[in-house]
Amino acid sequence: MGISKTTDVLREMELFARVDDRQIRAVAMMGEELSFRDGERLFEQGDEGDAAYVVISGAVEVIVRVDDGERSVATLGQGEIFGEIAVLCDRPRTSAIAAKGSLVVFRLDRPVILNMLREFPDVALQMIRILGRRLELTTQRLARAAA
Amino acid sequence: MDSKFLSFVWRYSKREQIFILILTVVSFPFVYLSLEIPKIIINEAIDGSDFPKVVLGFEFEQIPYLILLCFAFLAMVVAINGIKWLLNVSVGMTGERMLRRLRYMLFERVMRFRVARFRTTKPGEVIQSMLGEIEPLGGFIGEVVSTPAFQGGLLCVYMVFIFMQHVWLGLAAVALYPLQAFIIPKLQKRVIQLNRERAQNTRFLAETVSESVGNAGEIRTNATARWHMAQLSHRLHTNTLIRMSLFKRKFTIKFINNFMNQLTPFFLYLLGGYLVIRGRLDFGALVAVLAAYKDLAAPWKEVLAWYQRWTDFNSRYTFVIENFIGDDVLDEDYLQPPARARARLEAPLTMTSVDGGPGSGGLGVRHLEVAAGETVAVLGGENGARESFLRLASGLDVAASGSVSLGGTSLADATLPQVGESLAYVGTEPGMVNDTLRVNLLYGLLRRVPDLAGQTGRDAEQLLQEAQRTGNLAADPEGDWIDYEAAGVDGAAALEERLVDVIGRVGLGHSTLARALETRLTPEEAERWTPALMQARSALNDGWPAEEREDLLERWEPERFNSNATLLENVLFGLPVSGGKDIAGYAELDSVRAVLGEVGARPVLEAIGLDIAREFASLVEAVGETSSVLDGFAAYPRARILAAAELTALAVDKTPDAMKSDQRAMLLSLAAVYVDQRDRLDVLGPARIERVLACREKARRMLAEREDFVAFDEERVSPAETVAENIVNAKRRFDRRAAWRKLDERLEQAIRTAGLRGELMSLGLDAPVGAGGSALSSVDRRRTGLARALMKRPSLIVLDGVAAGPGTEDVTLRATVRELLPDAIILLAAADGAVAAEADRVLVIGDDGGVVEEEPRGPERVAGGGRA
Repeated sequence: MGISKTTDVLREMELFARVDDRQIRAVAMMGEELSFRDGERLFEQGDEGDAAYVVISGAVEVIVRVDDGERSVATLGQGEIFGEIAVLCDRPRTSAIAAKGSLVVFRLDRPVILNMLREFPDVALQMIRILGRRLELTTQRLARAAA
Repeated sequence: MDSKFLSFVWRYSKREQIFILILTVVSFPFVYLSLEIPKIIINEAIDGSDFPKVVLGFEFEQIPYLILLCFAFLAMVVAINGIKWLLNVSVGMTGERMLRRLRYMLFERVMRFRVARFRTTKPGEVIQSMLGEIEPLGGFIGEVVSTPAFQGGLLCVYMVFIFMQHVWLGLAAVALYPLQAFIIPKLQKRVIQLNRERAQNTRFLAETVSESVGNAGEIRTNATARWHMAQLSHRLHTNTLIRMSLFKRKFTIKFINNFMNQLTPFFLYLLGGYLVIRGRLDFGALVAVLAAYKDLAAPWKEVLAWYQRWTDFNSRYTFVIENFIGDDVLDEDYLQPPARARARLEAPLTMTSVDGGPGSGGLGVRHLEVAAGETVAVLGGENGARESFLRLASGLDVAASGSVSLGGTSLADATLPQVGESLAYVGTEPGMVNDTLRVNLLYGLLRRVPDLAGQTGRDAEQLLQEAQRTGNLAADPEGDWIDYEAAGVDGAAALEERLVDVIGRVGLGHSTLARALETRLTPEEAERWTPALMQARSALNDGWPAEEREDLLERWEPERFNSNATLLENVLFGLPVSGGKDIAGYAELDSVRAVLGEVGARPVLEAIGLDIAREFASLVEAVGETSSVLDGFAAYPRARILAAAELTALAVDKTPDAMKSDQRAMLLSLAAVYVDQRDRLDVLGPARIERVLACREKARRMLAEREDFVAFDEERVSPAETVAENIVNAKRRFDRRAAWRKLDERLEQAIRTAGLRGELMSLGLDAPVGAGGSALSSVDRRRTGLARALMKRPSLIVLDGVAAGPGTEDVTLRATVRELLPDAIILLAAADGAVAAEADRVLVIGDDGGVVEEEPRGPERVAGGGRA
């Protein structure tokens, strides 16, 4: 798959909603495309957060450790991003990620992401919005749980 | 070392100077005759009448006499120039040898500096002193005697000649010399002073540059580039001011010299003309005097210039030497002591009434004794006392007072061979020499001086002869320097075995093997390695299921496009054996370009190159020319991307056919290094791939018989590829990068199976480490330092910041050190109390620098004199 396919996927993402096509194509040039077989781990819980990923085709499982082993807590599909929090906050991975079937992802290393946020302020702004919204959702959930 | 320039010159070059002097004296009669003969030609052969003339019993009429005299004159000219040639060569060689001797002597003195002196010695200044400042001395040393002798002699000859013609003319010719001899030294004095100031400022300048380059990281992180530039600018300004003053003085001297030299002919014309008119001097004599005076001016100028250089270089020599003398330069015996002072020092380590002195964090040790085989952990002393303690114990520093000794020999008095053999200090930033990893690992054993005396061959003989003539060490730098006895082995093979074992134990084995796998062999080596690497290739593929292999690698198949390889490789289906160091380099070779032209690949590659250029133009437009995004392409440096973008702007709507040849060459280069799976620029459609494969078919036929290309389906090692690529003989799949580790494991297994590990380790050991070990990671540099210390088996080893942590890796390293050095004293700067608890003894250095030994029975004071 080339950058055109990656560009198509990125264009559909909320993160790049306010970014023009030329810049999205530039972002597509900044990362690399990796493929994984069913069940292969992209990273483990506790690993250093050195990159973020976007699913180009296929799906991944989000796996967390529990007392009696591991549990799959979510599935992410095409156009979904993961691993970005660990990169931005310089924290270890909070979960493991495994390929669910045949998988192709777009990988952006930490320096590349930091560059991207510097080069494209619209992407940075959009990322702040998304993270803000996630925080708001979490707050609401906590409020509901407390009530 | 001679403190006076003249005594240095005379001591080491008197034979040469005497030879030069003899040559000079020999030339004088010829010079005199070359002046006399023209006079005879004019007065006797041309203007004479009394023919025939008798010369050596033969009679000569006027014309033959003229011819005889002219040939005699020619013979004089040839003789004089021949002597001058010999003189110049002797002067040059003498100067060069003396310069070599002086530089070597200065460097030898640097090697004898006490370690403490290095703290205040600035490398930039030493380099400037040894290289720049004394460079002009070389040219001058050879002429110290010859110039005053030759030019002064010439001057005397000319003067005698003029005086012989007429005393008054002689007096007129030299009338102004006393005045010049009085004024010039006065003016020269200030020039010498300015020269010293200039040299001092140049040293500062060199140090400023050296400091700025050495602190590149700090400059970047603190954004102090402009501050450093201002510092340099200030030095340059000072330099300019000094140079301006120098110019003024120098040209004033020159003006006075020139003026006085040209004033003399005034007297000659006036007085000479008067004497000829009055008939008291013949015309020929006046012409000869004028000719002689013309020649007289040149040696006089030379003598004056020599005097100026003499005073300048005397001062320069003293100025340089001052930098290399002092009480902290150890005796010559320190480097090459007599046999009795070479005995290896053994435990115990004893410290008595030690005071670290200024800058040691107040370190004080009343009494401490450490026996052989003891491990002593040192804690605390973060204010510098711990570092001082460890440096004193390893002989790197000398205590301000008190005694530090090993086996009863004070480390302050120990000779270099004793320190080198008995002590080892392993810090976090070990010094590295710009050589191979092997040399860096065996650095602690480079103590046996390979003598040149027994060697034959012209180069060796010349090397030896020149070393002896210049007082240099007569050793072969490329010879075998290893002290096998110190390493505890009986020869090179056993040493290699031990080296591989040690680097494996300290965790350097894996990276050394990896370095070997990334090495490119020379065409000669490739031939030698072919059977072994082909064996490893078979071992890799044997029993490896095709499905697993295809998952990680894309094999070379003649009829299939390899999307993980460059386009150049895809067209050629092979690579040349020499001429480049990477694909971009190979693409520039004439032989490769010729093949691409002949198989018709240029049009398709240029078209692909144009599409790549357009992609880059679009990227530059999106992110700007200064964006760091442009640094993220493996095969395309920023400059290449910007040039490609510029090309598309210049050649809008043009096809490659309509472009200039250099533009087409650039398109070809862009395409040659393109890897579809890695670069993903969507510039390859099925039609283009088909055209590439068609070209490949022609290329394969064309290159089948050629030895200067290695095809990918040949059972031959390609020097264009790394060792690993040659074994794998396929392209790693870029999209499976996350799984490459599996391939590396299989590769290492195949290497073991083929019995190649030892040879590859040797290859990895021969890989260069770069300046300051820049090709190694900081972890590998530390491990190299540790392995170096272990290889020489010291009696005492200091581990300062290395193998000091609580992690399993460090625990293993500490166990390895003890296992390899069972009788050595280990002094460990422990990271914390838990690590220290593993040691036999624990020393705690307090904030006041006092050293306390902690034992199970409770704290027991061993040092510090009241400092709790």
